[in-house]
Amino acid sequence: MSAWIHGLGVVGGFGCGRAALEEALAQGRVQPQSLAVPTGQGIVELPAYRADTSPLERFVPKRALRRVDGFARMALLGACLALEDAGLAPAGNAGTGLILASGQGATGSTLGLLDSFFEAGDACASPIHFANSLHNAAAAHLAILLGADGPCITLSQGPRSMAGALLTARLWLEEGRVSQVLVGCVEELSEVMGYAWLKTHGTLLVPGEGAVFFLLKSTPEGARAELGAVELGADSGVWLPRGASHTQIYGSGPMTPGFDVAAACILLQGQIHCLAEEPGEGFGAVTLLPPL
Amino acid sequence: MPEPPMQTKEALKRLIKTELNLEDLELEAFGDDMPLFVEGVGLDSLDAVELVILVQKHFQVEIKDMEESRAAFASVRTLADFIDRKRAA
Amino acid sequence: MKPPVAVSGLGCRCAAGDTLGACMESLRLGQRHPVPPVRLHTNHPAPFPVFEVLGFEHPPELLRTSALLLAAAREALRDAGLDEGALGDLRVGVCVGTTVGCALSDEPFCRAFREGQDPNLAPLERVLQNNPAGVLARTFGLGGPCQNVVNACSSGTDAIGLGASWIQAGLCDVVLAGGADELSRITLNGFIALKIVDPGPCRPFDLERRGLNLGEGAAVLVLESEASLLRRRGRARGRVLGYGAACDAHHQTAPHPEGAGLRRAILDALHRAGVEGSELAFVNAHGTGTPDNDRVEGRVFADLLPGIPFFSTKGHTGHTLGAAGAIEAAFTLASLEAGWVPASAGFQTPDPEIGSQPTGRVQTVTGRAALSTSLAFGGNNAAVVFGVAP
Repeated sequence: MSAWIHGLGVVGGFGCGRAALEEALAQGRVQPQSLAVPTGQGIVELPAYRADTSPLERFVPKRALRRVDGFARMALLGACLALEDAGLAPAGNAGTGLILASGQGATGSTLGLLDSFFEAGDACASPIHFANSLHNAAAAHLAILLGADGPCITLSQGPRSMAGALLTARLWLEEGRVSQVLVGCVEELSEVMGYAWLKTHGTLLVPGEGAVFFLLKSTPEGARAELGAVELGADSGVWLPRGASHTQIYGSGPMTPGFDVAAACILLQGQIHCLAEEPGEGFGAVTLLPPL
Repeated sequence: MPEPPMQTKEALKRLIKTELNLEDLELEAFGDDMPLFVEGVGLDSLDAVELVILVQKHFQVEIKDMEESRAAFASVRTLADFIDRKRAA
Repeated sequence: MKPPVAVSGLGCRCAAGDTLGACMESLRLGQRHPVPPVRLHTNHPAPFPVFEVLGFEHPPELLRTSALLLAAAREALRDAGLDEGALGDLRVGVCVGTTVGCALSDEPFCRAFREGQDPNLAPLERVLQNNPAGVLARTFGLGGPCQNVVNACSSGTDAIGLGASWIQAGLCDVVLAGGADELSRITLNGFIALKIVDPGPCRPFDLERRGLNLGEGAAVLVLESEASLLRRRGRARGRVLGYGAACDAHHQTAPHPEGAGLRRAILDALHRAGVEGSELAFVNAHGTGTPDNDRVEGRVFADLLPGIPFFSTKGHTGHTLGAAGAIEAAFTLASLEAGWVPASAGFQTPDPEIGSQPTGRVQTVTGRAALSTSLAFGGNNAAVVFGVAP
């Protein structure tokens, strides 16, 4: 049974939306922004592809975003754009399933939570930061703001998170749990992850944050692309020709596999395989095909 | 009942506005008697527990029982009054 | 409807016992020991009781969460009669629920970062490289799909549902499905800040309940296709008959007041299982002991499943977050198999607002199926119907 991609939503250093990614891919390169990383030697400006979520105002009133942290805002924008790309409104999505995947989770809110009791003791831990630091908080914000009351799940498996999410989405459609599902991955370049990047790669390799969301349905009419095989396993055996990775548009790091699938969805001229591999840990492979 | 000192009410308003991220609430429009929960400012149960922590942190007043202190949370005036009474005790 | 999935092995490690058998015995005897934490310390004025797995040692390079999971997995594999060295011959997947096991929140590291000390990355790398599902896959050389479910308090139940889907879709012969979470200062501080932690032992469904107690532990179910079980002449302890899940889409931390998502999850699970509510032998509830959860859940039971005995086992284990759904699944299968259910620990006085009350004593049950429910922060509701072995 096939699954069909009806909408794509993306947000990253190249801007947001299908058109922005299309243009960036045509240009071949996007100038990165930067992240101010505190270190023992002072602030280091790390070149990084940063996501700007101010376009959320088009979809959701500002007041509704009051407790929504940066991580969840990227997810929300990605999801709203995917719905828009599919010709759907960001509301009244009863029965829609929601799958969000992230290797690192909401590290910005995690640090915010720790700050709250570092400063003033355990009894002053911030309940809002705690609630937002949970991996599944972003999906909760999405479900509430988009009215998506179908099954809702958050997954985490490093760079294979996107593949795992798409595999789950397919299963839900095949099992008739949902007739449509919003599925995506999000990674946030918080201060602490920026520090970790700096320490591992210096400033030579440019990291990127953002979100990629798809609206998947079990019907092909009006689809942008077909979701082919999705596999997760221990050893890929190098049998798949890989699609390209465009790190000069959206950066390197945990979000890259997700962006690769988004780019493949746009550049579709025949089958494209996207592979995320962790030596010794396993692989995730996603195949996209042009629509019928 | 004497009016609570201006500082507590104003400090509370600023705290609520910044820490609970009420960007669109102008301080001039934030009335002393505006309901804090459900209507008026429109806070909910999660904001309530955050407010308890903020009151502990910034005014050193502990709120142990949410039910007992429910009346105190009605508005900025009642909360400032509650805080000042606890501090004076 | 898809065919049911066999459960050929069970393993469980938590404060109630070092093995599933030991846990069931303490449930039967009504024994529970919530005490202030030993391994960790908070600077709240008075310590809150927790359900800690005392005396559990593990290699320091392994996360405690992953080590607990490994212990439960080993028990489950032994129970299933599967040689852990021979798992490479089968297509084996891993699907595990957790919260702490994937949290990049090492306190000493973050403190040192904040103080400009440029700390070493080892604590972050330790989490990334030792996530619970990854540890099982690597330890046993497993070649199938591998996934951590990080869906807060319903993770364990969701992981079992998802793992069962993999079997039914023919992706795997066997799936190690379960959940694990260790006690953490950070989650403890967070729950206390939300004011939903009982300063005394928790009292699920009781009129005077004041909140949850945190716990830690792990449980693993060996899910297996009928074909694989037949091929190796294994035996099933029970079955996964159906899984349902739905989101309240209501509030970040509070459940829908009418339990809207829970109702849909339960009804969907029953429908997929081909089981009527009235046929259920019992329900292992989520029953955390918080005023909100127990009121909503209890009222849904009173409405949808009147007269079906229900109980919470969190009075024996505490709330083990990502492990809860898995531990409760193991208890549900063991109870179905043995034909008895425990008293709902911590319950004394019925709450008239709930309109139903849990089991007051150990009692025998008959029936071919039972339900386990989980409700999570963010409004996720998950339900699994388990069946007896054929």
